[in-house]
Amino acid sequence: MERLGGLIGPSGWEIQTVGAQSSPYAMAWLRYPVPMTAVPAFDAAQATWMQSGCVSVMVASRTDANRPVIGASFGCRISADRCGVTIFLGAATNSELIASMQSQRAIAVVITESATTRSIQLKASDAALVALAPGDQERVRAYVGALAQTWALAGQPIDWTQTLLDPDADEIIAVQFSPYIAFDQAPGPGAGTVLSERT
Amino acid sequence: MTAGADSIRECLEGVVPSVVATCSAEGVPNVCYLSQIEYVDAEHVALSFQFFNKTRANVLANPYAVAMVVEPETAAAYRLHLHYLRTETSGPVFERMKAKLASIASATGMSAVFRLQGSDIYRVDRIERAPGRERVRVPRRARLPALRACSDALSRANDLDALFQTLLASLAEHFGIQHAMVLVLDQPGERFFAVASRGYGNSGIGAEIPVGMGAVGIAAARKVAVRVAFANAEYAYVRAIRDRAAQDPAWARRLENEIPAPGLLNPHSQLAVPLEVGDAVLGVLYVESAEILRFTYEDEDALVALCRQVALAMRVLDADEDRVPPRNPPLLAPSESAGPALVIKHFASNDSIFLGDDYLIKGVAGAIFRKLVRAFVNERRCDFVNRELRLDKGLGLPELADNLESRLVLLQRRLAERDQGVRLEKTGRGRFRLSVERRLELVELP
Repeated sequence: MERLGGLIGPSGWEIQTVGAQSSPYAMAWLRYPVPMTAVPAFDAAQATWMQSGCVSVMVASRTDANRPVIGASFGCRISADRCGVTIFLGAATNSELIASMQSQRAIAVVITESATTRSIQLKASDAALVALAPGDQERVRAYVGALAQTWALAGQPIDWTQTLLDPDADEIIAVQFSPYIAFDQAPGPGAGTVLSERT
Repeated sequence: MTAGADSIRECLEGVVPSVVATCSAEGVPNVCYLSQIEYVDAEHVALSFQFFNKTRANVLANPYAVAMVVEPETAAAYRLHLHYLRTETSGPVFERMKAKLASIASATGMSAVFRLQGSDIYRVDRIERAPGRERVRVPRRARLPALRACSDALSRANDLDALFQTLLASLAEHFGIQHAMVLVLDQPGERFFAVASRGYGNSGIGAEIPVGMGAVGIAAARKVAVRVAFANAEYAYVRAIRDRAAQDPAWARRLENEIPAPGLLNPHSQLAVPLEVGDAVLGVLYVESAEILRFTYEDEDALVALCRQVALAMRVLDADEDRVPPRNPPLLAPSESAGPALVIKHFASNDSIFLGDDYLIKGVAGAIFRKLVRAFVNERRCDFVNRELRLDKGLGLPELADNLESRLVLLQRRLAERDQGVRLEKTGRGRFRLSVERRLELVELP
């Protein structure tokens, strides 16, 4: 993981500065070190489709008052060891979601492949704002382009998808987490079956 | 008036799947796709409950949910902040959702797994437009002026046949609805008959449609408008009738002998609206299209309002007018013309009528026609009043909501289609005439 600030806070917490300097998110964010899990919650084949441009990625957290908050991500990036997942959110569109994750760090993400309806839900308790890695802006654009093509096959106009998910209309920020559990979310009575759980 | 759930109804059509987030009492968030969110009213929506899942467990413990929905045309995204209230397992909302879910399931190949267990009713606390761009909306034909134009036309109809024809013509003219029919209940809980149709190769007037099939059946039984936006075999009654005939030889024989039901074999959009007056359902207006998503919430609003007027007019136009004496003494039939007689066969077992070898009608309308022909042949009477039919218990008219006038419209249309020199003509409210151009011979058969 990239560390931009590199400052060490009280009790060993890291303080990172993330994002562009002009951004309201270019602030110091007190955060816990991300506890990387030794065992990934999903396999390599799953990681492949989860990172493709054929999936929708929906994100939830909770407020301090334990109310749910929701948003849509511009795809995701998965670390080589599959223990870290990074999602990309429009900052203005998802201000409450981002604030809630900053405060509570709880996150649930459902990744669904449109064509097959295979779907996986990941949960973590260590969501943290991180800097965009080199190539992330291009990754986000490629994701939207691929998704627009995928949904066009189902009859949705390309400009519709580009309007719904416009990476140029908002500042993109990255949130990283390490899932402690994964569920099969394919529609049907089996939805919610645990695929993998970190003990 | 603040913008409520009615301002985002189009987002709930199921074009773009909706997503809902909840939290457990312990604060673990959950996010999942929903099969369906149903608009209930400006302050309430209902979420489909198919399986006991995490969302459901969460809202039972912590009643807050937030759904993300997207406008199918503009791509504007909204967050609906919701509060769970209760679960309904019957009633109009449940039935509507069941019908819609089946259509969504069929469209997505999920018929086997999508079965509604309940409708979870939520209060809408707040609707938030998620910041973002939106596409320009293509202007649509406004529904209120169309509704008004239809209503104006209907108010000028002075008999039931004109009412039905005006309804179908004005739906085509003002709403662009090309395939439509009026189905009237024959015996409550048993079957409908088609009394008017437009846009089909065969008119299907007189076709019998069993109650309980498809969108039409649900609309009548549950007194709810049923609108489905995607192709769905379960709710396409023409297909359902054919499927049943394929399994049941007795049904197949019946269908061969009788009038084929009008209707598109594979409708992609359907809207069935009950014709209700007071507590009684008189029938159903059914419209359909080969296009997906042809009928919107606003079409449904407009047609429901229009059907209230139609049902009330049906009741008024069906009223007896026995207090006003006929202006002229009853007309006797003209002397029989020469030439071969038209043999009219009546089968007592089901009151079916054949003109020569051609099937005409059966059931109550068949019994009425037999009565008229007997009076014509034996007494040379050709003028009749509705009242005498209502008093004849042998005809099998239901006690309540007998739809007598609709049955006469049906008979009138069927005789006109057969064109055998026997017609039925309206001579005033509650009055009609059997107009006969040839000799009649009534043959009674078991």
